[in-house]
Amino acid sequence: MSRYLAFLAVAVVATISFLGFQGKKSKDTPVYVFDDMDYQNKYKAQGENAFFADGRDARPPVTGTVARGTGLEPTKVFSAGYQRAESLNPSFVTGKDAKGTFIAGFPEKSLSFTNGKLNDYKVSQYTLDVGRGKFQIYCAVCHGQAGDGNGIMKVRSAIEGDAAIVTIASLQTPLIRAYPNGQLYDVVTNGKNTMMGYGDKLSPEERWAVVAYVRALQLSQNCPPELVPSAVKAQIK
Amino acid sequence: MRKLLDFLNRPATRGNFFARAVNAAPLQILVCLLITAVVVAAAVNEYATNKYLNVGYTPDQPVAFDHSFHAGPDSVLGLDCRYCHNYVDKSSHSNVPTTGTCWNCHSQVKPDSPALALVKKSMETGEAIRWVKVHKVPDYVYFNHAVHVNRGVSCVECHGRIDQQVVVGQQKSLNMSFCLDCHRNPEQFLRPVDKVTDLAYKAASPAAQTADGTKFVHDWKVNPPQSCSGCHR
Repeated sequence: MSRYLAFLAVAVVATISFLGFQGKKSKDTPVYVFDDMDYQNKYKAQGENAFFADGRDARPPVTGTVARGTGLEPTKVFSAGYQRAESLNPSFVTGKDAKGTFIAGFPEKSLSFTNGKLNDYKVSQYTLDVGRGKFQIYCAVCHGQAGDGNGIMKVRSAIEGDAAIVTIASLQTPLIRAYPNGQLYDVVTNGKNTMMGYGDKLSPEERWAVVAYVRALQLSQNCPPELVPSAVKAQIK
Repeated sequence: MRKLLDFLNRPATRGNFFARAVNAAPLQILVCLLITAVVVAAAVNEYATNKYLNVGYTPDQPVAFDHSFHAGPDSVLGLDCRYCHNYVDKSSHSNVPTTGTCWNCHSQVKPDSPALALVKKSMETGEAIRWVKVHKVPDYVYFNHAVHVNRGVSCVECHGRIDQQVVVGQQKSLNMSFCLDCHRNPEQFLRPVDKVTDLAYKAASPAAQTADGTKFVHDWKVNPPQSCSGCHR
């Protein structure tokens, strides 16, 4: 018996020294003894696929084609009276009017339908809240929380001596204040100079919300005295 | 023990076919079996679950991206999680960022660094960077990031303090009981939606968490499924 217990103790020590305890860091792919249907041969988001030359599950749209809705709404997309909001209201997506000039204000119509007609687009408190949320995630990194161009990228570039110190724009300059809304929208979508576009990250609605919030920021940093609420005025003095 | 064995092996009063040691054998076998059973049960409990098999999986990535430098309030840059994982609140899948996302900043910041050579190559050729997936659930589990993130379930609940990790490793088991812990008691985990990407957030006290959480469960009509088809199909 003592011999068996000694053997068991050795086995336990050997197992622990070989396998360690829970939470042990390892670079090895987890082992699946019975993997059941854990890993199925199906297309997955951002999955790898040896069948295609670029090795991706995700297929880029065919050149020269326009997406007609998503795969989640085939019945709607292929029904008789289907209207594509982006085609009916291109200036909402491009920021330009029919002649190709940037629209000065906000688009008149949105991308949503009521009874087959496009709804009016209105900037509301909700729009500004969305715009602030997105601005603080995507824009403030460079342009700063106040839009003055002093985001963390500028600070780090100053420390590290990177090019971004001179290329990051302040949104409070007279030049950018004078931009029509459509041009601001275009910069958000496609980028400008060294800034890359955020059209892949923000939907058209969110981009217009960001434009609205940038306008609010510009007003906040250059506010005519008569617009300041009296309570705030007292604090300033 | 020794006394017990001496007693069992006491001299026989008359002749016996078997060696004396045999008297103790049934008891010894029983004790050995019991000890073996306990050891095996402990080993299964320790090793045969995701807590051992998956937790701690920290593979090398093709590009040594350091979350603790880039993301979160304590980091140098303080990026929001969603700057890179930008579809997490819109899609069931939380995307690994495109190379273009890296290049938004790195076209200006250290574009020629050897650490970024693969990113630069990917930017020039369009070839994908083969990031190694760390957090996996089986393919018959349909986890939806957007519905969780938009209802106050923080990244930290499943991914841990990614914002403190230099190399990302799995910190939570992600097994089914782990899911059900929260699905059965959502009020213990929900937080204000604007704190979802603040991984350091903690309610003022456990009581405050329960109070806030109960309010969120009510206000947002949170009703986490506990049926099979809620997650499996």
